[in-house]
Amino acid sequence: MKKSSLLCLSILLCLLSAWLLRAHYSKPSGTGTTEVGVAHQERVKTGAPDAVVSAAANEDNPAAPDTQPLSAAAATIHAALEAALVELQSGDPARREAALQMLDELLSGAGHDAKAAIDAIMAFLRSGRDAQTGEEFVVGAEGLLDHAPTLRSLLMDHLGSLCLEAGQTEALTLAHSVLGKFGSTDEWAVCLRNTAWLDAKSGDFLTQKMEQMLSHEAWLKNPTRSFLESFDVIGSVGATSLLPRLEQFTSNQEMANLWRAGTVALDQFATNHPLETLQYLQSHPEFLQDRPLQRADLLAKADMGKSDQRALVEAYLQNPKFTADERGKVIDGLALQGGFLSQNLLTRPQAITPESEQLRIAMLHDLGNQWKGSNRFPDLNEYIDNLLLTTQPPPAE
Amino acid sequence: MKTSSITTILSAACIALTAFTPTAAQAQTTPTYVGSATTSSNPYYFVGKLNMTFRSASGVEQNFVGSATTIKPYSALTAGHCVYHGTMGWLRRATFERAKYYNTAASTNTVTRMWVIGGYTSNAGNGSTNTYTGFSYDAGAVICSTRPAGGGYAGWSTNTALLTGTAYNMSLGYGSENHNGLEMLRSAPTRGFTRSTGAYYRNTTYQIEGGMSGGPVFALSGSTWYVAAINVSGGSAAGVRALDSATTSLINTNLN
Repeated sequence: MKKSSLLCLSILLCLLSAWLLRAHYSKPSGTGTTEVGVAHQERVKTGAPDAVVSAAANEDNPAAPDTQPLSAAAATIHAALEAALVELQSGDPARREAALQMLDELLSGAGHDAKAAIDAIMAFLRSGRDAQTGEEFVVGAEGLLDHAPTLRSLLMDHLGSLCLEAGQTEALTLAHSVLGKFGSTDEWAVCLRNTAWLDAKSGDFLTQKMEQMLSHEAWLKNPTRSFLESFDVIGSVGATSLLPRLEQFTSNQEMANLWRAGTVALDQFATNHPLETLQYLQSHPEFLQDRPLQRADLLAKADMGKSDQRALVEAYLQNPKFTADERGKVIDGLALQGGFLSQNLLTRPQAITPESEQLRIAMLHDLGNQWKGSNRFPDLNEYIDNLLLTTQPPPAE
Repeated sequence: MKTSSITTILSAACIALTAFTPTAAQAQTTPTYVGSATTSSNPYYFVGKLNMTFRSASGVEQNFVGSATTIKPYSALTAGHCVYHGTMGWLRRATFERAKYYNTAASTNTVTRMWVIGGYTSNAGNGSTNTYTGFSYDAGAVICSTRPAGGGYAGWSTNTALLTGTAYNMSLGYGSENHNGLEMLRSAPTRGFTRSTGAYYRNTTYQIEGGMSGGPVFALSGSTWYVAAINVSGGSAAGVRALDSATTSLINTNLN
């Protein structure tokens, strides 16, 4: 057995002992289903778009009592979750850290039992109990959380990947319940991601949820990290209906958090859906009209190797309604492409290799020569010259 | 590739240590020219001038000077605000002149791709510390069409104790606020950095100036130099963006 596994086992045993002692000396908490965590106490607003189904009215509400007994393996994990709850509630940083390490090893370490872990997590989440972890909401590799602010959001994070691994859907059922009311933005963010992971046809549902999220005044007033990270859903599912909302966010420089998230979300949308972006801009020429340079940046995400996208860009470059400098910025942006590089809930960085980059540059150089040779855009020759210069084949190394 | 680069760094470090001793430069709390010979020695020769062209909505071309460090065969590390501006958007044209000294440079490279290494929330704070002009405290990167240092690059460290402890630190870059932007500058704090928010650290004991943005904070550990942070803000205190593990993970995975 590995040293780390032994360490984890000993931590687990300590935590289990602590939990058993607590269970012995404290009054039983009844069914656990009536106790509602702090994050769930906020009342649901009425009226569109805030009108969401309350969890209590949802027949699929996983908060309903579950009479199914846990398997021995699931019961052991459940006991560890209970023990972790006690440790996290202690507020002691060292005890919290040990508990979080134990949970990670237990739920995603080598040899973990996905099915048992899912059952245990679901049973625990039904209790509604929660504890702060003392950490921020931080997205890591592959959309998994590096840090979660609460035990519940941490468990939902694990639940999503465990369900993917085991081919089960409990995380999806839970997500529909969580997303049915305005509780915790941390839980919303994880449940939006889990829904996208587990339901390939959830695009419309996720768009609807994002519309609700981005219209919820209480959350907009003080946007949390998880609220802002949720913007990634827009670019992932290609929620075109939310582009006007992003335009609003990026026009308000006073709300720096929303400005930033909106700017990145627009960029990710155009990166992940260049054709839809071009089509939207063609049919909505008023979009970003007060910020033409940012509009040009979105157009510059086009893949000019694809004929449909290229045709739309060329139509735009010929449109005198847009200034020469705006159109020129598209050409500049084709040659020098920008992007945001971060770990996101759903979208992933583009895979770029030196070879793929050389092919892109060579293709653009040929295109620039065609444009120049045919005098296709006579008022943009300055920018085409720059394109040719930037994409000039490098000398052999 | 990494191994050969480290070898390059280690062998060159010996030359650097004879050319420069931290003690002699500890009084350089304001940016000071390093000179031609030092510019072409380790670790300085991984650093270069970033020539940036933005353009306002009215079509006025605006040229800026920044700095960057070769961090992968084709990539140089810089500041996020060197590549993205809140109102002018993405940078329009850029070249990276490694180890530039007046009219000479070890290499001049065309930039064909750029990144703000940051997302919906800032790793360098909670966002309220960022101005709307964009990604002030974020890391950034530029990708060149040719390898700026023939495949070699500087080593880096995510050990922030190299910033906050007693390790020797120095900021490098091509300052053009009070200097000519044609020659590399160095300035060094007299004590460790203090963490401000997230991966943003400050130091009131030394200064960096405009143009040094995006340049490295090198930390000396043993006999090896590591990029430990990026210059991101000046003024009364130097502000730097530490290379935390999240950032270096993205660099390792996504930069060529």
